[in-house]
Amino acid sequence: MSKLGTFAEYIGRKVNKVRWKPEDLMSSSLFVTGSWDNGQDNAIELWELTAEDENSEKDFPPKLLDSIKQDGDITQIRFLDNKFFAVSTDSGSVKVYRIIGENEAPKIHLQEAAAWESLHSFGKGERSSCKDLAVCNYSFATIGDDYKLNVLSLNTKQLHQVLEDISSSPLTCISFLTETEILCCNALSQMKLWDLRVNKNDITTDINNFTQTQVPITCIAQHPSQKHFIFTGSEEGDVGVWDMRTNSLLTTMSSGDTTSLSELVFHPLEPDNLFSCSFGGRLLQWSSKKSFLCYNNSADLEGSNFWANPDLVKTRLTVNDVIQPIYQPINSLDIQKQQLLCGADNEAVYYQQNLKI
Amino acid sequence: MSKTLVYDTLTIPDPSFYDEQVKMFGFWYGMSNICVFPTKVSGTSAYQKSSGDAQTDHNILHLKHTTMLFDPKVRQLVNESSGVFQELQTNVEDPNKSTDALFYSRKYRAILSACILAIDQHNLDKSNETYNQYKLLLHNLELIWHLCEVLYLVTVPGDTILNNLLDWIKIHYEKAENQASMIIEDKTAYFTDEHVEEKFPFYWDAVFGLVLQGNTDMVRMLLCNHSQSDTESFVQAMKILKSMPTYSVYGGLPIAEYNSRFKGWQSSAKNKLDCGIFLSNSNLNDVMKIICGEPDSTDLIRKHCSTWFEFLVAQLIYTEPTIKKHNLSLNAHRSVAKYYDEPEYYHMDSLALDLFDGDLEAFVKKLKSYPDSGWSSTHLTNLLHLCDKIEPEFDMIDAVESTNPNEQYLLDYGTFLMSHHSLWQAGVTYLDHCSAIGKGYLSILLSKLEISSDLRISKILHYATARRLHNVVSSICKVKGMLSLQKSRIGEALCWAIRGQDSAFATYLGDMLLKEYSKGGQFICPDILDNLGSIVVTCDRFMFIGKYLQLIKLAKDEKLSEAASLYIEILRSNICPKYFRLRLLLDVLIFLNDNNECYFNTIDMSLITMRLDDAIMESNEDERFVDQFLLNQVSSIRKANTNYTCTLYGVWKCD
Repeated sequence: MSKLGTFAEYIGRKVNKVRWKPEDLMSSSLFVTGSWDNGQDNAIELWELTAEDENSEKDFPPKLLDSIKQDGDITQIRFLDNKFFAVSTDSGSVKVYRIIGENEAPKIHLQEAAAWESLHSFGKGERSSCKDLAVCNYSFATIGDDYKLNVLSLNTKQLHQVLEDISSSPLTCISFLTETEILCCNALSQMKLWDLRVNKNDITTDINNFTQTQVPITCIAQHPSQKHFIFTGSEEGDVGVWDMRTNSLLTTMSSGDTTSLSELVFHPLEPDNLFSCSFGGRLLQWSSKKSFLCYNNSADLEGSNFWANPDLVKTRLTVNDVIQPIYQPINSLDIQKQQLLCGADNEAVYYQQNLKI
Repeated sequence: MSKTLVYDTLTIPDPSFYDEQVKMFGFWYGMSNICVFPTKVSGTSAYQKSSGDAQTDHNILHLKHTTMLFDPKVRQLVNESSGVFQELQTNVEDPNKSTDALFYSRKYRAILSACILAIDQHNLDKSNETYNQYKLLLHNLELIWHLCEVLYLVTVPGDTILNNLLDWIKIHYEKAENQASMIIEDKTAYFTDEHVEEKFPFYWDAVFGLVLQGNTDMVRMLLCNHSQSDTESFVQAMKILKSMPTYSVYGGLPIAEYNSRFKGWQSSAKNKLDCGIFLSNSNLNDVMKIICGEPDSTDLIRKHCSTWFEFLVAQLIYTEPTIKKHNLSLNAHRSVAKYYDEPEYYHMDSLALDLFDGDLEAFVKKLKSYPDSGWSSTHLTNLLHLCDKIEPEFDMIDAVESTNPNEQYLLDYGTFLMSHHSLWQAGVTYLDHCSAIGKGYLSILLSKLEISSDLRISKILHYATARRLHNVVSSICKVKGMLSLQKSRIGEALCWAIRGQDSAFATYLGDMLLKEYSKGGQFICPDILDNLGSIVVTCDRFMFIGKYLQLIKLAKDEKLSEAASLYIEILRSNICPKYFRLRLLLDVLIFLNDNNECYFNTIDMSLITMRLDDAIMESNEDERFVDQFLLNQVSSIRKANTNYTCTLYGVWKCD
């Protein structure tokens, strides 16, 4: 715990996505950023945290290793493993890049491994935006403004399945529930579930949120260990907890920040901690970890059912700011081991080295 | 007289300007736009020809000057400062947080330095002329900002300002110090008895530079390194330098006492100088002349100063070390006059002079024309305004709207940022703090932004909603809704209608849905209709659609008695749109044709008959809504009605 504090680097483009390169054992020193809303000049960029000398820790400011121009805003970046990552853009294309590491080439750089230009389109050459991309075991699914769901595989580099007209209201985000089930959210607070084994356009389940308002669901996250719990972030800043065994909304949580949530991420190793970032410029940590104060409370021995118990959620959940609120929307965050990254509309990437869990 | 600096020259390749008699007129608008147009000078001969001339095309040209702020490397200046600006405004409103103007001024300067550093790193070999220019601009800006900070934001007890001025000079003119440390670090000269002057040709420049910054300790170290350092003249010089009294506010010496000590020290030094102790080395002699404050040393000082700021401060050290802030103005004007041969000032000079004069209002006004697109004037004015250093309404005469200059600058800068395709979000921050006018500007500018991507729309809506600019929200939703409709995506359009709370548009879409239904017998977008939500409450049409869907569902599930009561409820409330009334009445057959059960009582039946009569009458009046198929069905409805009514009364009438 040598340094506590947040570092910022201004990269000259508004950041829409940041992703760590996954590493198994060590903490990662490479990350990828994707920009948005910069005219014709949007790019994905590969950065490396560098150390000043051999002994010191790797630290900000990062070094730019490679930059590849993209046609349109970057809407999503997802790593497939620790080398390949998929990028979706506003112009409807999906590309897979490979990070060529130090042991393969003299200089670390990016190489295009596969590309699907105009995967999403309205026909007649009119491009449609690819809204989101989800990844599961080298296959990935994309949704777009054209109401199409594509399932692609990196192994075969082919389009495996296309589901058309899957919704009549704009789709917002997508996630794999299991290897064969895909969950989609739309702008009317609805969720739809598909089973890919059933080779039909039919929706397996339609899940409606029968609350009073129809607020667009903006992001989705799956609990890392209890896979049936799904968390959705809405445009009004609250988080919905869903049980996919019963397809029901268990509870909603609110932080008091009523701006749109842009991403929800669980700490990959500490599932008690959920992180969210919002348009209001706040990065919050929702911790369900038992605090020492209520340690003796024997009533909640079964910690695994925390989310299924709304009373417990209401009493024991703590919400804290991770970084000082910034006054521009934070668009993306990613966590790897103890280090957190987030990217915002003030063209900065923020980095926190020793995340308190 | 002020000297104009030409930053850029542009030739306009437009033939209408080539004419001898054509003069170019132009005016500024916004922050970086110039509007230029050719105008014929109305001489008598030109006037006569003008009838034939009228046909030639005369263009009005809009010139936009590429501002430094939009360069990718300088953009961090915009973004980072907008964060600090916002933080400052928030803290000002919060009485629990301290708003130390000095702290924020330093923060702004740190941003400037960081930006200069970033430019330097990007332009290591200094080959890029643009970046060199940017660097110079930013550097000068930091200099002038720092001077402002030293003079107005740092509180000096007793107003003895010289030490602060020295700090300022030391930070910005570090050449001498760098040279000196180079010489001192080089130990070989010291040990090998080499001639230090030969090894470092800039040796005496460094000594002079340090003397003129009052850095006597380092001067002594340098003199130590000289090969003749053990000669009498050097020993004496070092002695004098060592015994120089330094003034410090907290040193406990009253100013008068200090002054007499200083005078004593200087006269003893002067005695030694007059004795010719230092004549063995002419450079050393010059140094001592400066230290003694000899009147003829002015030229010497001038020779070693790169700007008149340095010149001013250097003179003050050895002539008036306890100068007060209010006396600076006179000295500054004298220094400038002495420093320049011709009485012509650059922009920077007049800025600094205004500061020394204590005329912050004029300073801020001049700063506005600094070629940084208003970055500095906006932030500095705001800072000075918040710590009450400038009158809130100093510039009221030429301000058009009833805003104070602080707001006017914020407004200009905010509007300017809003014109950029990517930095518009930073502009919002500034417009937020211009009271009511800012909100008006925001409302117009936000709705004028290009809605090119969904991400952008979500951001614009976020800003508009947070500021309660409902007109922006509804206009954007309307535009998006219409675009969706053009692609015949009714569901998407409906989403936008719900988003914008636009019940008129929703009604229109509801009509479309109902018409589609009467044509095809099936609703499109079933997934949306399943989950109508709040639109049912805000829009009558959807209230009807919601009820009608419920009716269909009940009928489908064979819950006919519940369906019947709902049906009557719908009829009674009369929310059914005109064109759909016959279609709705046709549904009565579901109930009437069921021979096993009675669903309606006589009152219900009379209501149905009444509605039916109304509907037919309406359809006769207005041919537009008439569907021939439905009209044909009327007789069957009537028949069923009659039958049913008869059954109710227990009368069986045969046809």
